[in-house]
Amino acid sequence: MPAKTSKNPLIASAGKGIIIEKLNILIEPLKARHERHYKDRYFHFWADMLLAGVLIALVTTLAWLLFWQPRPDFSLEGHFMSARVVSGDVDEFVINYENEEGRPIGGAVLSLELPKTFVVQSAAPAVLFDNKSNTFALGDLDKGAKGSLRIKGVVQGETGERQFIGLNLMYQYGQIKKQVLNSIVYNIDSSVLELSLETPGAAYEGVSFNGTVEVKNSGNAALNNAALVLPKSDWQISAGENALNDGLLKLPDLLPGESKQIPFEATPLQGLGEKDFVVESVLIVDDTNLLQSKIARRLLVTAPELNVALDFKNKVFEGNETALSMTFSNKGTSDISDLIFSFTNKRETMSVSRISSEKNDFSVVNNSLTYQPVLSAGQEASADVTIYFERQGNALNDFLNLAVSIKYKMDGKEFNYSIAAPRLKINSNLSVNSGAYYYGPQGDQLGIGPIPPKVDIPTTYWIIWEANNLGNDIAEFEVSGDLPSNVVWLDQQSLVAGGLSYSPIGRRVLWKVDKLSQTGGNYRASFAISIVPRAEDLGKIPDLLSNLNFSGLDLYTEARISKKLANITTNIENDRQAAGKGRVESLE
Amino acid sequence: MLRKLNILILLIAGFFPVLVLAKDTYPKLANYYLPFFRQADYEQLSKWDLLIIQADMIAYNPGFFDYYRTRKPDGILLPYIYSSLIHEERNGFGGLELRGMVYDAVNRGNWWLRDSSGNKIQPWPEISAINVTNRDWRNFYVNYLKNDIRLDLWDGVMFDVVDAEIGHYSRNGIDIDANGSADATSTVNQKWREGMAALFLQTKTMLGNKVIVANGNSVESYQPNTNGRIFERFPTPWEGNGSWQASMYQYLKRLPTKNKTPNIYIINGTSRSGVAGDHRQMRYGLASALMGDGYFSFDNGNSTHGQLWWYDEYDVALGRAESSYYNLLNNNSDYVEPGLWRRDFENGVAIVNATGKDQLYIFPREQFEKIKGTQDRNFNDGSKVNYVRLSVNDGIIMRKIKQDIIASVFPNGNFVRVFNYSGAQQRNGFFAYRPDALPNALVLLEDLDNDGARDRITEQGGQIIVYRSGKSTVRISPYGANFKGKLSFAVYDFNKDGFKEIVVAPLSSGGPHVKIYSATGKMLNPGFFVFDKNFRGGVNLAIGDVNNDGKGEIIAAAGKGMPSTIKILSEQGRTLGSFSAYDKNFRGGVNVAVGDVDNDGKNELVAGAATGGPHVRIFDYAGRLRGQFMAYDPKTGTGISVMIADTDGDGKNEILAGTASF
Repeated sequence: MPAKTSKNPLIASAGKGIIIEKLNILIEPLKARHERHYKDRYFHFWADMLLAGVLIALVTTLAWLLFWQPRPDFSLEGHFMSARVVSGDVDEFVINYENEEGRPIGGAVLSLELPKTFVVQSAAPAVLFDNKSNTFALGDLDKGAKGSLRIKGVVQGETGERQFIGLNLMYQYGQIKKQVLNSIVYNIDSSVLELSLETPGAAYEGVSFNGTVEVKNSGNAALNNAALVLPKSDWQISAGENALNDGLLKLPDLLPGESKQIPFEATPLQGLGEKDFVVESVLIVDDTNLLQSKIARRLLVTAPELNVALDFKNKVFEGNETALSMTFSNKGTSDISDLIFSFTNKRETMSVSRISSEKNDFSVVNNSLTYQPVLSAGQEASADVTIYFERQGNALNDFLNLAVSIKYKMDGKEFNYSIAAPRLKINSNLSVNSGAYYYGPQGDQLGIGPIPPKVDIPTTYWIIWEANNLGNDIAEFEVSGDLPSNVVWLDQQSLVAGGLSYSPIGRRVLWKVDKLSQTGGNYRASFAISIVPRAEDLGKIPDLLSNLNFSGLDLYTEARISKKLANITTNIENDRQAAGKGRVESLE
Repeated sequence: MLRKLNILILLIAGFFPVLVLAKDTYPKLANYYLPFFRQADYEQLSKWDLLIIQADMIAYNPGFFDYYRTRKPDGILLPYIYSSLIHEERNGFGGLELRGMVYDAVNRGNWWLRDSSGNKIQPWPEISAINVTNRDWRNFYVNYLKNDIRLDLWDGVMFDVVDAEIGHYSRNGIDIDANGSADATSTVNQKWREGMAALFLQTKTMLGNKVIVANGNSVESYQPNTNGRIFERFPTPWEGNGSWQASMYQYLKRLPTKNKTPNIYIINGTSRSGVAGDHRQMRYGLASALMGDGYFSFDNGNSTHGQLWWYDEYDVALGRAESSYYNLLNNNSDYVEPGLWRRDFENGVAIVNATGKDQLYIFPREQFEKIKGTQDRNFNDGSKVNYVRLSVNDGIIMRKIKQDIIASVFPNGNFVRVFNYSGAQQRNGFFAYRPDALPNALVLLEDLDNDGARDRITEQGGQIIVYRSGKSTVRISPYGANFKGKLSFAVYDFNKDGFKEIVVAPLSSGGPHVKIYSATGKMLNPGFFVFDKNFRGGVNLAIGDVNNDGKGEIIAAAGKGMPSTIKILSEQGRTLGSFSAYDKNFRGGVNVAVGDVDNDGKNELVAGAATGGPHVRIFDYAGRLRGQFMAYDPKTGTGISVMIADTDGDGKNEILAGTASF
């Protein structure tokens, strides 16, 4: 049978040109197959075509299954309502959605990934919102259904920070689960916390100055996590009664529109020249300080012309007075006149009641010490000042925070600043009530025997020691006293704290308590002694206990407090009923 | 051997009722009370330990005998009868059948004692003498005593007018042998004594174990068959030379060796003024009586013997005698002579000044507490003393100063005041302190294991520690080794096995978790929460049968920080009742104790505010307020602890309120 002639022009023109040559290379196997199988009959050709078709279909299906995703037809977008997002403010963002699928969808749930610092206040519709998971349960939506969702809350973040709110919508489209992702991106433009700062223009090295920082909540949300960061390096800062923790001062609640003024005292540390005084406001979220605003002042720190050195003569404060040694010198080039030192205690527990100084160059008016002469350039002077205090209250682990306000004139200008004396820890308010009783404070008879005491008849008294402590913990507390030779230890006692012992050799009674709490407590020791007056005691008022002392180690000041107590006699002044009946009488 | 044993048992059994009669605590009080009393007097009469009343009371007040026996199981009742006299009742013996019976018999038998003229002898107006030497009379009389005066209701008999000499009965001589002529006085007296002794013998033989008390003669022949005598108008004017020494010698020395046991002696003092207020005379007699084991009575004398006078000293429970009598001025001699005599008792001392002059005595190492009296307040002023001044012929009863609080948990070192149910202070306050326990620790002195020895239980460092004979034998850490807070505890024998269980709860810090342990420290009940589990103010515990069901209830009072709730729970922790002890706003904590404070046989709950004013409140089990008072100055703001204990040994509880801040 003669070969059929192909009418295919490609085949017909085989061998002509590069493309043709390349095509020829590709077609060669087909030509061979054709020669073998297709030439005489079409069966193999159509079988091969069928096989090829099947293979192509399989590959296509496989590729579709692996790579093809159904395209969701759902519109989801969100944006903040306000043009500028302000940290610390209440703002609202809205999310718009629409079902663009060809048919209804079911079980639509929109999850919001909010910044950790965002505080949700409300959501609308509230009924759809779960504030634990931050999700809106949209449920089933008809084809073409659309709506808006709103979230209102307090935005918190650092000024300039970019934040994201992620939107993740999942829904059921027939048997297929579909997902739509989007996000709201916004920048924090500014903060509601506005700062203003008042300081003097200049400061003296080592000399404290007073300033004020004002912080205002210009937003519409109450803030309870605002704080100020006061400068730590170069400056020593205290903020009065406000607690500073490593430069961080937590502010009380700031209502919308409210301002708070925080006075502070700052002392430039070593180094002269221009120094920046920077105050920042932050919002504290999860122990992280989010910077809100900042204000700075450049202050010129110079050495004061008047150099003042203060030193307390005692290491701790006790009682109601203390001695302060003052040395001052004029480091400037002009005379200093009208030099006045005024003394105040910055702690409310003790106030300065008066001062005194022995030096003739000084005059005292109220709590101020005036240096009468002119202090020439380069001249030095000194004074010992006794400062008397009046207790206004009690505090635990208290200290004197004496401030000396200095005023003087130099070159026609007035200078006024204050310096701080070294802090002086105050010893605990430790005292002992010590007395003998025949009748207790409420009339119970404790003693036995004749009152007034009589010759040859024993009279028993009870000695009661009560320790009172307020301020600091006291350790190694002891009270002791000696029995005169004609007073007998009866070995009867009653304690509510500590231990009592009597040494017959030294005739010493000793009461020890390991620790007295700084807030006080019941610390009492009572014991009985007896005296048998002799004939030679007739008409006298004998001692019952002498050489009385108490001491204790103040754990805060590390000072030992030791005091003497008055001898106790048969006059038992503490006993309201029997006081004064101490003179020995005769038996009959 | 068996026969001897049986006889011994019979003797003891026969003797036992009389042994039971004898009271062994002091003072022993008698009333020689001869009026025909009424039912309204029963209660008062029942206060005395020995009563001599008219024999006719078996007819006039038959109900009195059961009444008295119920209230005074160890009391002694003796009928007043003459040994050989009888009243002449001009109007007949209507209502006095017993006497009529005797009179008729004496008449029929002509047993009168007559003078030489044959007249009946009347030693006192309208009282005729009977010839005791007449055997028929004695036979009749003993039979009469046996059959007619209901001896089953009495503990013996008291014979009045027991004279050893009767010569003074008549100026016309006495015909003792009824031969129509007067006999010599010595013969009369001798025969009289023989007759009287014979009467005693016959009566004693008839009475068996019951007692004969005679008023009153110490003559030798009368003693072997009597149990004792009355020393009327003490010191008895007709005893020896009428001195104190004469009466006391018979009372303390001679007669106890002569009389039958049990000895019954009655020192009967007489008011010199005729009124109750002769306190010194009363004290003189009472203190003298306390030198021996006799009874004391005080009245207006032998003309009336009809007073119900009661004295502050009578209420002092001296307890058992701890010594015999001794002379403070001459300790080496027990010769009964004028002196300053003392006798010691469990709870006090008695001292009598029989020196004839005022005495001042200083106790070199002792201290006592005078009675806090309501009568002679200057003398019994409640003060503590280490010396006494006693006027001539005076005596004093004083209490020993006891400062241990027994069977009630107390804070060591507290100053404690003692009150009665009405809030009246009973004695001087004292420091309750044990040097063998830590200051301010809770301490309990109680016999936990029924061995008769008092154990000491204390809490310390989160542990309950039981000390026996001074050694720590049990240590319990109910809340683990890390718990170091204070504990509240109480003890009670819930299962009636003789061993007390220990109930414990945290007193500060820790939850209100109550646990129960045995006396040996074994946990019996892992416990239950009595208040909200989160409450950390502590629980104050007490235990007692407050609802009279025979079982102990746990009483839990809230500590500081919650309303002042007191809960009553069963041993298993089931709440039986609950009430507020103070105002609903008070959250300062409540201390609590349980005991019978009003002597009505039921336990009350006593609460003390743990902080703030010293306010004591007394409740019944239903939370009804029964009483309240301030234990200290109301301005004392440190609160009080409360305890219940019998501090003076009189068998009645007092309320103790303690404070740490003195």
